[in-house]
Amino acid sequence: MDSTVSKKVTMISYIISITFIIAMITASVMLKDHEIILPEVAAMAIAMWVYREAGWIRQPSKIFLAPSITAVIGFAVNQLHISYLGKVSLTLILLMLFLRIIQSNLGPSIATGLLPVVTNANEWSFIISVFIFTFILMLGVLKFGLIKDLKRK
Amino acid sequence: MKIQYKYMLVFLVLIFVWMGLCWLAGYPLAVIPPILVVVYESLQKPMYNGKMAFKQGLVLTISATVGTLLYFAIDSWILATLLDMILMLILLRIVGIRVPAVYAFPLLPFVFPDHIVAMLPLGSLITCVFLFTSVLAYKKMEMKRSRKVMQM
Repeated sequence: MDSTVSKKVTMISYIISITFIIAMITASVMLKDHEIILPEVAAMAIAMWVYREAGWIRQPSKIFLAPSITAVIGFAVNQLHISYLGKVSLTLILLMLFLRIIQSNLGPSIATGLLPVVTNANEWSFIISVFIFTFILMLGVLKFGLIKDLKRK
Repeated sequence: MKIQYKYMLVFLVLIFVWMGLCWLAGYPLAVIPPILVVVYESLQKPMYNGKMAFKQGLVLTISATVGTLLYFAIDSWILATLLDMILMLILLRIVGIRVPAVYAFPLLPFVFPDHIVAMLPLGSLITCVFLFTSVLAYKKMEMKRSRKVMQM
C-alpha cells in the first residue's frame, strides 16, 4: 500500500467502490436488463478509486472516452452479418487501431469493446450503461483529486 | 511510462494464435475479456516473471470459480455480488498481488448464457495457462535479447 494513502482512506475507497458496483447490479435487477452489467466497471472502480493506478487515471477524459468508444465499436461490429470468429477478430484489430490513434493504454477498454460481441449485446441499454458508468468513474477520479496525489509522487 | 505500441501487435498475434488453436480443437470459449486485459497489461510491463504469471493465473481462475459457484448457489444477484467482492478482496490480500480484473470476473456469469457460465472455471484455467505461459516466454526472450544488445 502507498504510504501517501492511509489505511482509513483505503477502507473508505473500498466501501465506495463496492457500493458503486452493487448499485450497477441493483439497477440491472430493478430494470430486469442484464445488458446493463459491465464486469469491467468493477475492475475499473477498484483500480482507479482504490489502487489509483497511475497508468489508468493519468488521462481522466479517456476514462470515459476510451471504453465508451470501444463499446460502440464492438456493438457496431456485432450487428454485421459475419461469423463469430470474424467479429471477434475484426473487433480486436479495430480496438488496437483505436487505442493507438488516441494514444491510450487503458486495458479495460479492450474488455468493454469485446463484451458486446462475446455476449451478443443488441440493446441500446448496453451502450447507455457504458456511457453512464464510465462517466461516473471519471467524475470520481476528478472530484476526489486522485490525480493530485499522483502528481505529488 | 511510455506506451509501447509494438505490444499491441504482439497482443493481436498472441490472441489470434490462441483463437486459432481453440477453433481447431472445437472449443467455443476462447475469448474471456478480463483475462485478455491482464494479458495486454502484462505485455506492457517492463518486468515480468514466472511468479507473477503463476499468481495472475491463480487469482483469475479462483475468481472465475468463485463467481460461477456463487452465481448458481445464490438467487439474489445483489447478495452474490457483495459476497464476490468481499471474497476477491480477501483473495488478493492473501496472494499479495493487485489484479483489478479479478473483480470483473465474478460478474461475467450475469451476462453470459448459463451453458457458457458452467464452462468458465475450467475455461479460465486453460486460457490462463496458455496465455500467461506465452507472455512469460515472450518477455523472457525479450529480456535475453536486450541483455545481449547491452553487452555488445
